[in-house]
Amino acid sequence: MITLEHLTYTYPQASQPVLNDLSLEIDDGDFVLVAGPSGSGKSTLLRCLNGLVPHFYGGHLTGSVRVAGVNPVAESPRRMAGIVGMVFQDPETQFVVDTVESELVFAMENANVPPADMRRRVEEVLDQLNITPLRQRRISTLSGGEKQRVAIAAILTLRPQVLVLDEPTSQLDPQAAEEVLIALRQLNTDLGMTIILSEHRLERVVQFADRLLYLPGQGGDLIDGTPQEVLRHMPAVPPLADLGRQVGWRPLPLTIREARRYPPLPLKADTGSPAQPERAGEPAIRIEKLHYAYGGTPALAGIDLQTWGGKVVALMGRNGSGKSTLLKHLVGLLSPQSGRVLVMGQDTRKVDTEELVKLVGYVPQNPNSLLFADTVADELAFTRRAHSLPDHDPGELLKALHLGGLRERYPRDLSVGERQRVALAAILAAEPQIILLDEPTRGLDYAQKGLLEEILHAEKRAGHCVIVVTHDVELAAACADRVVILADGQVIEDGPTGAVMARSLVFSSQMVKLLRDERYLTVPDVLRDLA
Amino acid sequence: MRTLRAVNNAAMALASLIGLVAFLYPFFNLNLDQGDPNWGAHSQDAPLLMVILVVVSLVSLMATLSSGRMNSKTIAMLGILTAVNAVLRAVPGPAGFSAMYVLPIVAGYVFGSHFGFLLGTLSVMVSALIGAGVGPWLPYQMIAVGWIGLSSGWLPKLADRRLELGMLVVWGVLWGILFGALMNLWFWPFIYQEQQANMYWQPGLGLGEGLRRYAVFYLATSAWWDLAGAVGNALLVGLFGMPLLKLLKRFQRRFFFKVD
Amino acid sequence: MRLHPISWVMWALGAATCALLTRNPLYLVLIGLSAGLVMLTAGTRTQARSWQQLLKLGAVVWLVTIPFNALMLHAGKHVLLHLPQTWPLIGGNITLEAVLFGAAAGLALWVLLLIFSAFNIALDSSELIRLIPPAFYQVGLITSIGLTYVPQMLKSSLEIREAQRVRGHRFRSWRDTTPLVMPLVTSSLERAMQLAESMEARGFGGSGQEQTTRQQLFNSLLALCGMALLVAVLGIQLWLRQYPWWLVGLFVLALGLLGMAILRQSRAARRSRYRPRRWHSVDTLLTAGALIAAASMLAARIVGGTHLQYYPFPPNGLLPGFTPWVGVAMLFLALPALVSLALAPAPPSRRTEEGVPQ
Repeated sequence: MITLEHLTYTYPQASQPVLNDLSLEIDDGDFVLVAGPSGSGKSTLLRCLNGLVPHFYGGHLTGSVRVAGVNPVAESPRRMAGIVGMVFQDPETQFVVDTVESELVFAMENANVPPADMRRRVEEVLDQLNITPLRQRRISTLSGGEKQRVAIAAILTLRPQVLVLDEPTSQLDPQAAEEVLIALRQLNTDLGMTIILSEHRLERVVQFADRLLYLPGQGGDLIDGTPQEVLRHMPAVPPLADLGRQVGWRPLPLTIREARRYPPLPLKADTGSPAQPERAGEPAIRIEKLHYAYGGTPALAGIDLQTWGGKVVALMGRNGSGKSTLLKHLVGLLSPQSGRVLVMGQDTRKVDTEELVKLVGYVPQNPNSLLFADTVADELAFTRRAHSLPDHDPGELLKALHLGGLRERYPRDLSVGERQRVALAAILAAEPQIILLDEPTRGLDYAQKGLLEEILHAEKRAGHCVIVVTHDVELAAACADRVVILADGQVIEDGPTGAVMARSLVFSSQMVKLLRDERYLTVPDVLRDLA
Repeated sequence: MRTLRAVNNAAMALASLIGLVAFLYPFFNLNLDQGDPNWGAHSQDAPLLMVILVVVSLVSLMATLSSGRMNSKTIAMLGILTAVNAVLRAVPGPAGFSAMYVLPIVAGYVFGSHFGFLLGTLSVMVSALIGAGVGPWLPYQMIAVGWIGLSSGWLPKLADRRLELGMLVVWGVLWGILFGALMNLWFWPFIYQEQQANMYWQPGLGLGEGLRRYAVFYLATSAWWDLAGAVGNALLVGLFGMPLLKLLKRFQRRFFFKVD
Repeated sequence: MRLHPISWVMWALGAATCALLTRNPLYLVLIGLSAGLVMLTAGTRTQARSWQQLLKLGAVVWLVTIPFNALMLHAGKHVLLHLPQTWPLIGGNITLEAVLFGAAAGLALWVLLLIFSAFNIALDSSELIRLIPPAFYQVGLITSIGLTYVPQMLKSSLEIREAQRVRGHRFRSWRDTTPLVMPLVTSSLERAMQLAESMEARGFGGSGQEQTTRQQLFNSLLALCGMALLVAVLGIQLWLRQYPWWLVGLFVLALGLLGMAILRQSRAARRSRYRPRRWHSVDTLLTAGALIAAASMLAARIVGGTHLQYYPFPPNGLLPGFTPWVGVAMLFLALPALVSLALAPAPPSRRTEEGVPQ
């Protein structure tokens, strides 16, 4: 049983409290989902439960917190570790030692658990999270999903009653996220463990939750209830719930199966296939019979692909299918072993990377790889200097990317979404013709994602060629003109977004899955045709 | 608590003194009377004793630092920076000089002597474990790089940023030279060449003669090398000093707040 | 079954003590042979190759110094070659004595290198860290965090380098490395904070020690006394310029005080160990072997007249002296090799595995 009463908390050096007069109760054995935009206090709320707030962060806390009868504010996180286990966002950053087994025993050795007991608990958690084959592995050799499951197992060795997870899947691809969520679901149903989880992307998790808490941020009131009730009142929701709200389905469907139970929507009859995209002029990128292998292991096996300006192409496929290798060819970081790559008519083997990147801007997956300057404006100026371009007032570009007010801020202090856009701005500052984005929606909330979609549309209107590597089917549905799917280093699908998604079971948006019609990729598409 | 801190500081000072004696042992040692029948028997004891003393000094320093309560932030920060520095060691800087000394200097200056000492010492250890190798030179290097960090914590905290950077650059030069001179000492007693006896160690040298010979040895062999190293050190501190100072101070403000 | 890490440490310490105490090439060769055998049987860890390269490099340095020595040193009766006296520095007799002397001097250092190569190949770094006594637990933890982070950092430094290159930055010299180093250090510090948080959430608050300030003070004072005594011993020794037995006694006492302080500090740390390594009788054997070798060498040093030094110039002979019992004692250092050979599982016969017909 968890009880919060009139909880108010302010970070050190902050003027506004991030949690304001919050009261709630959580029953044992509940699966609770905490949602809300970045900066709304989701993480803070979770950290109050094991005393990291205020012990680790400082700041000022009033009101009361009780977890299983213990007050985390009076106790230390150290004492709370036996009651509340906490798993963090980034699977990479939680590990202290280098092998799975020694990581699992780290907390127990510290807590002076007797060796015989340790042996037993290690075997138990290995089974519970289904990671027995990994026990001797080095952590650096694990995949993201495996790492996150090891992190959960390491927490469970202390036998907490409550498991708290702060966006545990936001850095993972869909398959890995699925692995983690299934493991959590099992812990909840089989062992009756209380699970409290924060998440941006509700479509993956919402069907598991008994309860949804929405923190609107900026002093708004908490919305609390079953997922069906709360989704009705949240500003940004998954497409399925959004459609349900618009057409008046009650209760709101959380899964495709639930939505199918409602009578079919009265949609207009098919008015013939949509116009084929015109492919006028010289392609911006032309890839011919491209082969590439890393030390004998083929990564790309005969890719043929052309893209034109004014279009957004989504490049999809599971991890290791060759997407990154392909991107690296477009900026000259790799050279074709056979075949050729032409960028704006220039053969990448004959031009330096330095020349090539004047035409092609590449935004890496992790914006932290780029950002190091003292202010956002300096960051942009650095790119222009690197390209020997004259100084230029970045005001307009920053405004277009919704960064207008952040010009003099330290980039590393910004939120994930803002940092992502600063990285994009740092690339766009060089005015490239072709823009490559690697997994740009990772860790973004709905609002930030919406801004990104707007920006991509604007780039497209400006006649630029945009290639987005993404696992996010909803982003592809909203922005892409065309979807290319890679598998084993080959193109297995290439066509207009609707057609590709209608044919695929995995790479399709919720609307396509529901209606199985290539005309309806997003909720607005459906509403437009609603009679 | 205050007494404990004073005792610990005294222990650190004594342990450092023992380390220094160990480094300088070739100079002190053994103006044994050459007519003494034991002369031959003890002529090789000095190197062994040096090693014992260095290890004792290192162990005492670490035990003293470990006895204090480092919190998890300090430990995590030290662990991560230790890795960064260990890898920087492998990166050749200007004049073939390793970039390993910049971080202990700047971090020692910002976070204090104890942090600096542990960062220096442990990054040498990590770099040994990831490939540079565990060998007899290791304790000497650990102590010497540790001292760089330790002493950087004693520098006065200056408000003016340029002055601050200038001070650290000069500090880098000084340590570049001193470090080379110290590190020669671990193997100096092992090498000897008859012809140029005036620059090699022999059992039974007095302090004056030892220093004189070492000076000749130093000038003849490693002085130029070390001077280049010192310049390299200064260039690196000049390049990275300012952004690192800003960064570390930012993190200091953010995470090492005082709990009231 | 694997040998206990402590017995490896004892072996390395014993062997290194022997190598440090003598310059006699005969003994050194025996030590080197033992260490070489140990290295060959220690296993095939990936690190082995880099150590072999280091050994080769060491050998090259050693061989290069031999002619250097020979050209500079002109004493001795066995003249190999005569260079005109008018040549500066190198002019004069090139003697066999000089060659031998140079070779022997380099040998000591190279044997030391060999010993540590064998040690590094035999023992994984994580096992070394597990040996750190609880008194140094925090230091061990820092080291282990560092070791864990190194591969991740190398990966992210590659990513940063690529990202900055593609952004248009050119890495031409060390002066262009700021856009690589600064994001790397910044990300590392951010990661340190996340790691600290994760450690706290798993119950690692502070030192893990349940000691009162008073107990701590006692320990610190104990260590302080030990160190003060040690400094006094060193001072007296420098003053007297000899080692009377009572001074040696005080020296041991000082080390004992320090050891006691560390032991007490270790006891105070309430931690348990997962799967502690077992100490087998083989480990006792091996440790005893290392101790015998080191003790014999020390005894030889104290007894005197056992040819630990090597000085081939007249009036001494070219050949080093040899005391059989010292030489035999050095062979005890080869025990780990015999143990590994005896304990190693029979290698699977490859031919039958691959089904190649006989």
